[in-house]
Amino acid sequence: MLDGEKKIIEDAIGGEASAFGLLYDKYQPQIYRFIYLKVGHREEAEDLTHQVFLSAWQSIEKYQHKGFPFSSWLYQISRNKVIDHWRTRKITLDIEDAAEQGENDSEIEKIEIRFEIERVQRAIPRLKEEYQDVIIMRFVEELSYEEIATALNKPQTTIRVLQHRAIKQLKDILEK
Amino acid sequence: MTEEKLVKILSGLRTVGPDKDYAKQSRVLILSHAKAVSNTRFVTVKSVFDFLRVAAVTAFGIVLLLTMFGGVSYVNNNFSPILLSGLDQKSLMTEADEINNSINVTLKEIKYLDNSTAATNNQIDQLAGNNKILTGEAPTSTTSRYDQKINELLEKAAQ
Repeated sequence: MLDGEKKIIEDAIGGEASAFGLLYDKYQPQIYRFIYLKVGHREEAEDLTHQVFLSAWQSIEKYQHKGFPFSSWLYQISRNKVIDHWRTRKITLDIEDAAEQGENDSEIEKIEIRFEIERVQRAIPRLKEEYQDVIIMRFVEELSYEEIATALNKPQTTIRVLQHRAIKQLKDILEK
Repeated sequence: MTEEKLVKILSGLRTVGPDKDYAKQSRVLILSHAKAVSNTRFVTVKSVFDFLRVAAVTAFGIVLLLTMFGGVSYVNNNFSPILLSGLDQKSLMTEADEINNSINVTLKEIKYLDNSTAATNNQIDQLAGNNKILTGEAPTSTTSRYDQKINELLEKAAQ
């Protein structure tokens, strides 16, 4: 969370662009990462991330600070954007995803750890939507259960159950 | 793959980041769009104030009308001649009964006083007649029946 984030958010709500710029600088990389790991395509992730922040800025008056990082709200917007993205462009992405896998094969042979990362990266979009969210938020972004519960609007106990199932399914995918 | 290794790989995904040029360009685009949003917001706020001003005038008018109608209604309810307690039918009947009773009482009193006055007068006349007879004076009162009879008898005798 940014220092004095509440004040920054209030300024942004008041229409101060520089305040929103600070929020953008802080949270844009992790929102991009979240989206990229879900859609598995760089340009699509960039486009969706842009849309997420544009939507956030346009509707920032609706944001209510409840003590959690601003990212919780951004994750909610991101999830909706990704869901819309899958609804409209699923077939196209499947084709591009397959093409990208071929391109990556030559690179991942060089370094084993890089190979594993790429493998896991490609496996994540094959998980169920909510498993993807939990895996990325918990293990990539290292958010607390409370923050994830807020972002996904689910109880913490449910998040723990989802995390367990997500890991299991991810392992199953990687072992195939 | 062990769970521990999987978690380690997943944390390694944190190195994934956006292209710096893209990030700058996106930022500029969003914030420049923000200016338009701010202007729109300003216009919206202004229009909201205009709307509020009109709404305030309208509300004041409505309140004024309601006060007027409310006042008229209050006056009707409290000061209307139809609803004055003095003209209330029940209270009028009660009042009339009370007056009637008091009149009856007064009439009885008058009748009683009248009777008692007549009786008293008779008694006084009798006493006065008796007293004059005893003293040898001719009774001056002609109101007594006895005196009248005596006078008649005396006149007859004189003829």
